Amino acid sequence: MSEPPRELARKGRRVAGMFLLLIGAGVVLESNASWSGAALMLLGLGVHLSGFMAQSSPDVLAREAREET
Amino acid sequence: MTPALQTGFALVLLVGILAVGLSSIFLYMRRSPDLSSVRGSALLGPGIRGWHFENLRPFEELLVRWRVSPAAISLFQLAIAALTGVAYAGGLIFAAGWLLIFAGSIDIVDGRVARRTHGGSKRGAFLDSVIDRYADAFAYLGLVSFYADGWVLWPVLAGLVGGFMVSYTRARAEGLGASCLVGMLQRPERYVILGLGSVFGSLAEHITGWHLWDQPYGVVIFVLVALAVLTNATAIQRMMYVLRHLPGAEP
Repeated sequence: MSEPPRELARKGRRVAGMFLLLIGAGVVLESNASWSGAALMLLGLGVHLSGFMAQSSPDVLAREAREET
Repeated sequence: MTPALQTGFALVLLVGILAVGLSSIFLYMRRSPDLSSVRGSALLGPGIRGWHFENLRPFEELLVRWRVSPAAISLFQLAIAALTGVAYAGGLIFAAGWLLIFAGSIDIVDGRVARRTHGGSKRGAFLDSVIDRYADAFAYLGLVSFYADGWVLWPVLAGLVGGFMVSYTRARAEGLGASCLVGMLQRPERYVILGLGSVFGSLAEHITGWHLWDQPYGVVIFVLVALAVLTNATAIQRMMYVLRHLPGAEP
């Protein structure tokens, strides 16, 4: 419950990215608009990874927490 | 997409969803979170609810920080529910399942934001309840449109009526001063069952091609029949409960 706001934002990006990816997968699977579904999947993957790969080391988290207080 | 490719893609999605979902829940539970304030039910225990709240927390914090009003969040939920209906009507069952879970999640965030910013006002609670009913109707109307030509239309309509009756019995009981928090199939449970039923029903359709009496999406039909029975059973359960607890002569 005590995560700094930036870490929460990263977590939000991971969840939102996964959601977009799944919606895109649904469009690919069940419609003729495969390209728009694939584009949505790629966008979701990008958003998800941006939150996942930017997950900080404890040092960075501590620095961010100091900056935010 | 060729049928073979579609089957392979559905298999990859099935394995991916199960792997990511279950590992996420496992990692959350391994942290031994404090679940003392989370109210669970028979179907959705405190662990699953706590995990879901944890995933929604970044959006809750963002909405509180941006001072978005709970009414605006409710209207956004209504728009997503309408989109869910359009997806069901258009046969995008997999996407509709996720959109339905998204709409249910927005409803949770809406309530939590309202409690944090406005202290949960009566006006807000009233507006939220009315919008929730329209949101339920939108999702079901999409299913009505999709299954309009077959017998599945009847369980869909029975589920719609049952869902409304579950809410109505509680609202009427509370209007008469009685509490009515019982019920095996409340709104979050309905959304999870129909949402996940649609997601996995769609994957099963593309992997096995199993139809139920010539109707597509056999697993979704099974879920719709179960919801039709269980929602009406919940409404009757609530009715009996309230009748036992209200003062006055036997009707």
